[in-house]
Amino acid sequence: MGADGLSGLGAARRAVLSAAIGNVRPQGTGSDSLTSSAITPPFSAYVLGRLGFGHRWFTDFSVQYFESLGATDDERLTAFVDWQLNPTVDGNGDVTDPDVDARLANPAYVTLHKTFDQLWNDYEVNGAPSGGTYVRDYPIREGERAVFVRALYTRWGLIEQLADFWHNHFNIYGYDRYAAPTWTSWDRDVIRKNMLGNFRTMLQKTFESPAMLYFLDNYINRAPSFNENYAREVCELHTLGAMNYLGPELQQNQVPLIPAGEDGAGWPVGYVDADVYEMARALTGWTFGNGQNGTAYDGHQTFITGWHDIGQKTVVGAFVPANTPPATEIATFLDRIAKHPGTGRHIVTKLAQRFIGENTPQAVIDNAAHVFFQNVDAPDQLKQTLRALLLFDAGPGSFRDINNFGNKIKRPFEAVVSALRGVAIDYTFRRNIDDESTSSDRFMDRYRRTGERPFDWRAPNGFPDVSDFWMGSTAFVHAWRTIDWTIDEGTGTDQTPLAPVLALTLQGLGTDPHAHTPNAIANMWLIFCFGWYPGAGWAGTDLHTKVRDFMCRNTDTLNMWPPDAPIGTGESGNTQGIGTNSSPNYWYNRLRGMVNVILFSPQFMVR
Amino acid sequence: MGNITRRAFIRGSTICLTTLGGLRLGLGMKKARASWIGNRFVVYVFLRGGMDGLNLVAPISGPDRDPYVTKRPTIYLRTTGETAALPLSGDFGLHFAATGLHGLYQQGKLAIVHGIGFPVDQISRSHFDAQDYCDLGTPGNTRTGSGWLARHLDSAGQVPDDAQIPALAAGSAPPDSLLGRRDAMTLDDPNSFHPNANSGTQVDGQPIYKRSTMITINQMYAGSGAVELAGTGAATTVDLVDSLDLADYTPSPGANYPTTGVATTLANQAKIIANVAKHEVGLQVATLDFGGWDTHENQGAGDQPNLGNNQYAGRVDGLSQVLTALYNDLAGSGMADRMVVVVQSEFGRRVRENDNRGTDHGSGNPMLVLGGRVVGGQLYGTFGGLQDGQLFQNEDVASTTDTRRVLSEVVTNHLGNSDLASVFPGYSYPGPLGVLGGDPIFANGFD
Repeated sequence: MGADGLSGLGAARRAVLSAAIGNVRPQGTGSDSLTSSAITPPFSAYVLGRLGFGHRWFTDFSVQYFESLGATDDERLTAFVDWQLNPTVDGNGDVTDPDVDARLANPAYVTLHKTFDQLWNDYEVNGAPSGGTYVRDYPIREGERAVFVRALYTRWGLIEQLADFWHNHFNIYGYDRYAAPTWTSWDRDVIRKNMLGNFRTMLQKTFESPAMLYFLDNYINRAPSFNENYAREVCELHTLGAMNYLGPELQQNQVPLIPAGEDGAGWPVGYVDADVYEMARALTGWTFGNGQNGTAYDGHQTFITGWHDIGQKTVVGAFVPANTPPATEIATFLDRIAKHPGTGRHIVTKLAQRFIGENTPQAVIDNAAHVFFQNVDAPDQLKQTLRALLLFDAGPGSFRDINNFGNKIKRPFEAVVSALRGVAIDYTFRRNIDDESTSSDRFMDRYRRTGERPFDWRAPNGFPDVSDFWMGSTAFVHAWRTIDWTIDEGTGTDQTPLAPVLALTLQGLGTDPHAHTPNAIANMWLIFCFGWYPGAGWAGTDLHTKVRDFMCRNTDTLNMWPPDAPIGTGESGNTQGIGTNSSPNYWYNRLRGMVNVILFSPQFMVR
Repeated sequence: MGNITRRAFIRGSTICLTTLGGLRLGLGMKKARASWIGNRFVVYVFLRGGMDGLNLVAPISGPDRDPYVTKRPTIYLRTTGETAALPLSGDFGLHFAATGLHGLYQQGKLAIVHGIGFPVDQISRSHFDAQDYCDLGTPGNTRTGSGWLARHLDSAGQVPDDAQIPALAAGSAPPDSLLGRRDAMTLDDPNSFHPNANSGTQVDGQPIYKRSTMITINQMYAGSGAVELAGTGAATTVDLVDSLDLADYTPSPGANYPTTGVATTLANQAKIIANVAKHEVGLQVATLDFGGWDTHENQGAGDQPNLGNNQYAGRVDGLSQVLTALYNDLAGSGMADRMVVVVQSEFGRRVRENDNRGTDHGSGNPMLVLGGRVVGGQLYGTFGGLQDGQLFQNEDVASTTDTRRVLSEVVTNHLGNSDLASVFPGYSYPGPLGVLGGDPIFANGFD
């Protein structure tokens, strides 16, 4: 199955339309639904919109393929989750996907296979050579576009959602001083390599990164007036979370202990400011090789003895005597916060917010948090935790409850990526190096205005994952504008469209203009964008009527083409086909505008 | 698109929104009162990253001069030569690059308050926390669900029905000071606030299916769900920006917004505020954000006049140009008295420069207040001093005036809202510093 949607479509036009899944479920009835108009889709579309970025025709990440995975929704969900959580990997343990890998082999991508040391040398040490090309931000510039390539073309949709999640969880501003030149390694070796693995290991990798040590100021954390920035965030954002912070008034000896019989029995139930300060003292001296203060200029984590506070310390109930070797000391404390049951609850709560909704039943959270705790030393702890979260059936509100549909808005990245998947985009976003790649720059110029430019969030807490934040007019208007622009854009001397809207229309309905009526065009594109149709089809639904009316409406917004009148059959007054673009009808513009409004609809904007 | 439509939509949407779970709302439905002083507005400018105020307003003589020079051997402001500080009042001078602000100070339109910060127990060196304390107006608490500007708009029925744009965030996302107000318009560039990108076939210079697209969007988003309301709100904003023709703006003569340099985006955003204000659409609060102040390394030597080699000076220059242009722009239209601009950062920086010729996170910092009604040309508050024993935690300029004191004066005196208990819960207002002139006008007809 290729990522290029054309070949299969040409061969089996009718098969496409009949392969779309007819949904017979009623309108969304969940009480958390954000929409009053969207129809509940089939279970397959619901899953694909959450555990990835939505359906894409003629790939394995499609409604059709999902339906083939078992006899019942429960069977199909289990098979799908297990398939997605066990992607193909290469010898380095990096996820492979033939379509993505082929596109990322484009000559504009030069950093992706470099080791950390190579990146450091090429983009930090030699990133801004006097009289030479400025290259130090190549890794982040590639990273922000590679993430689009992955999300648009991969079959491992869940992996891409998880990468997005964990980049936000351990958020670093991608253009930060030492993040920009090493971004490829941060993404590949720290985040993606560990996100289905062990959390303590992942935390360690973030701690060892010069990007993180610089971003949260630990690289200059020295006794006696320690800098608490990293200590604060490693407790508040990365591990235990504000949900386990007991406030500024309590001291350590006032924190209740976890009762016997519960996970983590005997440990403090949460953390207080003193724990942060003790952690900050433990973190003194942990810096990276930036060539200053006697360190090597190699970007590796290093330790400056003269900066370290050697006194005894206690962090969340773990005590370490004075003069303990610093590596042992910090390992003890990172162990404690990484393996604390509150950390599991915090992380599982955030995962639930991403994949299930903002009011997930406590039983679902507790079950997955317990799996997290039971597997703190397992090499696949995070895979098992996520599997438990997605497959645990606690009745209504669990992941498999279709009534969750509509309780989340698509964030701009999700809206734009799912829209472009829906129109079978065929373009590789990349760093701009020639005429064919300038579309990438223009795309990013539009997309960045949504406010969700990849890796562009300056605070360590990451982009908000609550629907409320993304329902402002800027997010909507600029996501829509980006989609509109992409569908209008062509590249190269022959202006090959990035998204083959006209070609798909001609293959979906045939080239005979007698089949090109507004009703039929609207119907075809609704099926194509969504991958399914309700009941007996889209015709007759409110959405179809409004989309069809767009196709009927002339530029003066007054004259309406009859909805069943074919376009371009050759009689006087009807010599222009849907591929033409001149006065008075500008059909080609109108066709693309019609596809746009499908992608702007509430039905498409929720998941 | 009539005047009433948007406000009525927001009112109508509130009733529906309150029945949905999981959404932060904060839209108070207090009885509308005529308490807002017609046409006055505040512009809240937030310098993100911890702006080094000690090098913006520095001791150029007196007992603090020697400790200042000693503690900042590379970056201290000079008193002679090309980078000489510009004299303010008493022992203090302004950074050499802030020539526009200096002029406004001399005209009596700019006031500077020393030592702004939080109560000692709530001082934080975390950007993220300290910005929240400022934006939310609740030092010590980052979990407040609303911002201080939002609560101002909520608290006294401030917003009349015919105000089309009472709150404006000029940027790509609204700051948390407006958290809770769904009717805050976020606008970064009026030229392209439309779902139809300006590409492809055009008729009369407009994308030809622009109107038809908006018709369909409005049809699809009819309904009472949160998404439908949000989409309708987006469509309404698009139509409003179009109907006001915000894309076509010429500033008043003498308002020279920078077109190159680090503050170009800030300048474009400030112009949007001036533009909207001049359209008389009920603007009451506007926000601007300007980042990049976190100068831990190579802040810029005090004798370095070249802005390209002095990152702090370059940023001060940009800020000064934009604020001066904004003031002159409004003044040129006879509206200087209606605007008060408040400029602050989440914290200042440590007095002693660090080993990397920069500065680390501190606390006490100056705040700028600019506008026609400001009693300018003066320094307010108390400068805590730079001798070792006078520094906070032996590191920072002391915080001697609570941020909220100045903001409260703006809220009561300039905007006519005396419900400070709602705007700054838990804060005990000791009365105005006097940065604003005239008689404070209080609302009548309280409940």
